Amino acid sequence: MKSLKFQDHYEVLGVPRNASREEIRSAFEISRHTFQENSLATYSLFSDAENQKILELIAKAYETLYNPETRRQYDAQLEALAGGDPAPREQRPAPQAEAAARPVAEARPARAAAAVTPAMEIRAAVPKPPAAVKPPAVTQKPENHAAVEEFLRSVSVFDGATLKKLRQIHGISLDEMAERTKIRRAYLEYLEDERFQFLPAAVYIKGFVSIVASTLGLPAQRVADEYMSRVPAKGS
Amino acid sequence: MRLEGGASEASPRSGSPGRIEKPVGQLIREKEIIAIGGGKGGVGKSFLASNLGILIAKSNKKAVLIDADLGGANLHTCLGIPAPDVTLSDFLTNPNTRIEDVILRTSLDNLMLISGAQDFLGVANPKYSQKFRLLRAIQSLNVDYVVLDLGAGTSANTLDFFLLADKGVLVVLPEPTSIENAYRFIKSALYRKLKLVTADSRARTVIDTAMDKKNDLGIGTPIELVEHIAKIDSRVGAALEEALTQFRPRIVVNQVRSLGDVRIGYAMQSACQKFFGIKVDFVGYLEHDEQVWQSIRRRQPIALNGDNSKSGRSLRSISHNILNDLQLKPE
Repeated sequence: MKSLKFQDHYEVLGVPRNASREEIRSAFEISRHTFQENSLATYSLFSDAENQKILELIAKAYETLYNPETRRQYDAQLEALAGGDPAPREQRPAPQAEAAARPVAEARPARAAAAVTPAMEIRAAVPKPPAAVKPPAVTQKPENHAAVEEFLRSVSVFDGATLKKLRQIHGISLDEMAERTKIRRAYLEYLEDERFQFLPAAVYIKGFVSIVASTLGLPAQRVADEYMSRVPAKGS
Repeated sequence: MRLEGGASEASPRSGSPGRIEKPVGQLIREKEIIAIGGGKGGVGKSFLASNLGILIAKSNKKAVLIDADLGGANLHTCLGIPAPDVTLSDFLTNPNTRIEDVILRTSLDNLMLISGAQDFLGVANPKYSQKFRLLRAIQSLNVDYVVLDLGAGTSANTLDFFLLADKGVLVVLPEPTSIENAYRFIKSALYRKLKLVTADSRARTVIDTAMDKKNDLGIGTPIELVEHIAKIDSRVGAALEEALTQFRPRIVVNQVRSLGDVRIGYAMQSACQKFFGIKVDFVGYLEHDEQVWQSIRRRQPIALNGDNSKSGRSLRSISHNILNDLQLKPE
């Protein structure tokens, strides 16, 4: 295990070289939660400033690996560095096999927006970060479907205003969006208003837009790329 | 749970009920030692250990529960067994006491107990020779599993038993003090392990120095420690790196009240990888449950009921994951 500055993107995210996109996304979400401000899990290990630095590294790793094209290029770089040896450098082939028995056995559909109270069955969802992996695309009500389609036809660019309009057509409030995506409501507002100076670093903005796009049933990558072309390069 | 036979009966050495006789000619079984620790008191170690022992016994394997929490022994209470007269302390203080003398049968055929009750101050810190004798005695037991309840804290004995086990399990509560103590435990165990791995005096000095966060070598994490030592001596560095790889504690999050609490398991995995450079297996969680509190109060272990309660199922799943080397996946 090398120190952070020497780790490659896979090691930073804690995924094997052959990780699926889902695994990569999942690892990113866990890390995002782990190293957030005031995190319970890193309290006594890392300061908030260190958390922030780690998060930036992780976000960068995620951005490169989640996009198949940039991932391909990156893999090629790694192979070249290793002298053509593409063998995955896993520390140990730890079996990540699904636990055959879990505290929760029911197959109820995971309701991403469900608030959890102490009395509530934790069984209602599987033991994982709720909606953190991939927010389910919105179930479109029949009467909205046509409206969504029509609107999409008129869209020329996926800017903040477009995302806002779409969200409204879908009938999702900002609070609900925040609940589903686990993105702070304030950030969602800034995204829609394109007040970039109040948003964190570009890697985060892109991540947020990806998730919001997914939630709205849009092609995440394309939307994120278009949106990011509107974000000015920041000083930091 | 009833205590049956056992060494509380005055009995000669041979053949009395309650003695665990080794069948002549039968090979000593390959046994797995599972240690339950946690750094902080009251997180549920004894609760987990006792129920784990019961579940193993009910699955037709032989298990012995050992209460190594000298000075704070609770296992017998969790099991509903009155504090027995003959305990681990007797074994540790009297060289003539054999391990067979302190093993107690229970109402489950496959489950035995070595209690830590009746311990007194002098025994809370057994000497090295006593520890070694205990370990050899454990090796001689005819069981499939040894479940060690380590108790709270990070004393040398606690750490040693944790490191000697085949599988170490840490129980944490989803709150900062417990998590902090768990990390403290991990750090202490890890550094102790690293020192065990090398006899190189320079390396050991560096390790000792690095244990203090404010050391003047600028070493903050075990990863940096290993890198530092690797520069001095690459072979020792490699040995330490290997030790980091082998150190793989399991964690159980207890008294979970929300999905956010469950996520702490995954977050701790992530944090441990970044800070310590180790892999941690998240083997399960237990929801905060009135029934658990009741079961402890009444001294009736949940696993004995075989019912379909939430906690019963959690315990079975945790047990399954520990025994089969599985962990939860965030999906």
